[in-house]
Amino acid sequence: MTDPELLEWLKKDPNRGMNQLIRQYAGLVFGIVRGIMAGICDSSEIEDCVTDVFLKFQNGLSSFRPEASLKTYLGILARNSALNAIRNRPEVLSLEDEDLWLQIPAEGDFTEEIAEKNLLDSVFAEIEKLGHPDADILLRKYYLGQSSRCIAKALNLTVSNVDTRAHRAIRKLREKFEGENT
Amino acid sequence: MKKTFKSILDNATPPQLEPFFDELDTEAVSEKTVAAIQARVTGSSEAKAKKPGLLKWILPAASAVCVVILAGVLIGSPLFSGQPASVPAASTMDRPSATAADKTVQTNAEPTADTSVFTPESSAENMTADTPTETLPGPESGIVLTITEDSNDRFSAVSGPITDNVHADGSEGDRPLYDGIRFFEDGEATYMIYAEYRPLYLLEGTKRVGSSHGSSHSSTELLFFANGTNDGWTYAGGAFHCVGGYEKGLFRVNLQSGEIEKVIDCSETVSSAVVAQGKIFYASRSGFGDQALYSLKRADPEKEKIECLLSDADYPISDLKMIGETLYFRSFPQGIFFITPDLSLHLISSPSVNSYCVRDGIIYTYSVTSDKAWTKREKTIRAFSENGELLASRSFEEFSESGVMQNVRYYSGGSRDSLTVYQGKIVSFDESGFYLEDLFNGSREKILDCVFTGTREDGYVQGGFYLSVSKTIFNGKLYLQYGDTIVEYDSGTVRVIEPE
Repeated sequence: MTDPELLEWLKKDPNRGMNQLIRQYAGLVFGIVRGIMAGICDSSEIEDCVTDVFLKFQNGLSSFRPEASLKTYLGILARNSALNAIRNRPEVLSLEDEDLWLQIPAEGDFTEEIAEKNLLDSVFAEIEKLGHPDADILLRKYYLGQSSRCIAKALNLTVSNVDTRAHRAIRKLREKFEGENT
Repeated sequence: MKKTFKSILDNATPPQLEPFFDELDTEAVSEKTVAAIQARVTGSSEAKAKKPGLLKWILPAASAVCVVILAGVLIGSPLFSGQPASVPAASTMDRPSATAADKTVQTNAEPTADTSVFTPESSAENMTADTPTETLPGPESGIVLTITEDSNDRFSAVSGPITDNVHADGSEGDRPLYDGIRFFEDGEATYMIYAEYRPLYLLEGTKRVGSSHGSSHSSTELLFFANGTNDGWTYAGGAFHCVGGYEKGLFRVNLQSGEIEKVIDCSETVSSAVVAQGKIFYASRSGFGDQALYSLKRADPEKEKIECLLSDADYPISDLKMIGETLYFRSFPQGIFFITPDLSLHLISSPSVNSYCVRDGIIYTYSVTSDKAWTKREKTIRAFSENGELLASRSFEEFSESGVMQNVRYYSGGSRDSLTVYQGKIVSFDESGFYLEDLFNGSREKILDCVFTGTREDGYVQGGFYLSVSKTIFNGKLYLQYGDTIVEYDSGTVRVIEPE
């Protein structure tokens, strides 16, 4: 079912629409939530989090603006909900390794907000240039918090291949941004 | 300035992430898991009625109307007398199972001889009568329910007795709700409690005397239960506060201090609770998806004792209601169970019940079924006597035309609301107003234009009230709530209540 059809159902018949939404996107939400919470939380907590994602969507439906697809919107919601759920266990999400530091320009004629937006646009443009599977690896690893093992399975790669590609991709990005800043 | 790659990505906007998510794979999820999530989110699911899985040891076959008296006498521990339980084999297990025990138990497995079927007259509008239901055999073998003592470690920080005046008229226990309207009496005052997502407010008359903010206070206490994503509450007398976040369990909390005063049971997810005769009856769940198991427990706060009444059921036990001295609960998709003071367990088998209510000894159920393509949906209301006799049944169909559902009619405002019966008639609503439907003669009378839609003073166009309208009956009056608007309907007289 397409997004416009689903949104129409959600408007006209919320329960039916939600049930269809859940049927359509439970797999996506589970995949994202499990990727982040697996090994940290038990299956009951994962289910609770998945349910929470749909409840949040339901509660915020009136303010939903279709600037992106439902898939993306729910994916972001799932990712954020799962990270919130394990917020008290930061040691598990040790994403702050040295490879992840980027030197970015902080001063300039722009306001911070514009600079932030430009930075994001630039980062995404660079990620896009990396192509498949490196772009996927970066976003899965550093946005969705998926483990290398999980990514390897999804992309049909070896774990060491995932780690190597992630390392090289981050290095490329760092060189790009640090280079621009010097 | 340094930023981490992750912190940069944290601020990504949906359009920036769109290409990435477009390619993201999805995980295979079982039908049962999807149905479980649907049930928790919308209060209904697309799952078709299945042969009994829940309490499969109770019913070998059931798909139509039958009443099964299962256990004439439960072992040793009367459910409602408060006498000490006769505990078989002192259990050290957290979750004792409902296995057959070699105790003397009389099982009365006589099915009702027949179910008299109401044959309605030609219906007004498009309601249609159900076809007569077949009579199914009762269970071939009996069941022994073993009431087992649970761990007492779950109690802590006793802080006074819990009063037990949940008022059946209108409250009927609780659904797992984070929204809606309820009434409670404690012998001294009558309280109206309503919530819009959060916070919830407590009214004495029209005056707000408490809220889950904690900024105001009251002498009233609620018992909260939380399932990790959603909160519910039931009246317990005292002062109250909301438990949220990822807490799970059953708590008594103080609104003034915001502290949990007492942990009753935090071992499992709790989905429904009701306080009666000084005890707390509650439904809990352990595990998830295919492994999920459900239990019905009774906690005695004074003795700090928890007993399992039913355990290891593989379908949900939900929507507990204590009407008089009878404890009702819903089990999707089987129907409605109830336990009478003589400790016998009964089932009103009604497929895929989404919601139910009990009025004047009649059990009303509301079921929804749909075709796979979601182009047709049938809504059915049934009325049963307590002995399982089908008194009346009417169905009508909603259908899709050019992608838009036609003939839409609502009976509950989502998971926070229940089927409501006012003066013997079913309350329904659509975008134009509220109606009373006579299940027996098919008549439908509009009693109220929709007071929840329209344009507010600030220009905001209100709509979609049917998403979250809440209804309840109290002292013979019908109350409707949506957001901060509360309407009282009393036999044609309408009053809008504005909380002070």
